[in-house]
Amino acid sequence: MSRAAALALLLAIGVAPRADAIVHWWQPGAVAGFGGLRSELQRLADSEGRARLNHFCAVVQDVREPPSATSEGDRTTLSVYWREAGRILSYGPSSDGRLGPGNQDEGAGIDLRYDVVATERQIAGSTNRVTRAFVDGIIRHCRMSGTRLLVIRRR
Amino acid sequence: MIDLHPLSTPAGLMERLFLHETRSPAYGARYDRDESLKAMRLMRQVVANRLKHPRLWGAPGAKDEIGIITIKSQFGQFGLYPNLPPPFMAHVDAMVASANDASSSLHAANLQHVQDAVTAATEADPPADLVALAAVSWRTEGHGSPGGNFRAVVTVQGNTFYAIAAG
Repeated sequence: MSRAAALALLLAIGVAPRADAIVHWWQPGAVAGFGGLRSELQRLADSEGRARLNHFCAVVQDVREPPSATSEGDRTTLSVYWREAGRILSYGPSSDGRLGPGNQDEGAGIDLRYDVVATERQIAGSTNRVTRAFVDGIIRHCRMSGTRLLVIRRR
Repeated sequence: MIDLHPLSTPAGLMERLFLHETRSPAYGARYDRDESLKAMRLMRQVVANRLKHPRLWGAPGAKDEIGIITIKSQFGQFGLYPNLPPPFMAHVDAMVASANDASSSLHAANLQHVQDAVTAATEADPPADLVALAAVSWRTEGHGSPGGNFRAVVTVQGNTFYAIAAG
């Protein structure tokens, strides 16, 4: 997909980067720092899952933009949509290449039951609420460019 | 040995909020101790600035920081206080446990990180340059603005802090 097409798609679904940012979406296995995904999802299903079958979709967002006072600059973030739990989890890259609970960005997690609102106005200052368009954008990118995994809870 | 203040106290709740929301040493190369302390101090400013005008933030009866942090949907599942779900607090609990476990590979770093959270929650005189930013909200970088009348003032360790836009 061309950069122009990617930007048009991002704008259409509400995940707008800065004008000078370059954004790519990748399968986790294609990006350094996000290895061991299945093991981490198994840990999640075993420790926090309630359903026996757990459907996950994982995608890495790779943002390239100049650092500034309000941007860290280049960054990669793994988003994991967990259908049965109704959550989107967020991970930063691991320095040893394998994901673990320490790489999870708890503050960036989204609980789809409580954290999603229709409009930006309804965010109303919240640290964690996000718009439906934002969530739909992540899930759509995951289905287009990410990896889907089925994990059976072991206990 | 380090422990957090009791959950029933403003300091104890703020310490848990800061540790939940800030990058920890487990982030490896993306963790910066000074910047994480700065992020936690800015979070303290967010809570303090909301407490000056609690009605604006949906907390007209708030008398302390607990009344601000526990407003529904403003700080995630902290709105469920005092019954914070164990999985929600598992990360913080694990960090404190590591800080008190000399055999943990992150013992020293987590000890410092937890101490930094206590510092941010309890210090009487926060840095003036951070106070001057007048932060009233923060968002994960890339998650969008907290609303239409906010302006981003700084991004620290993956969180963008916002002040009220002028006019």
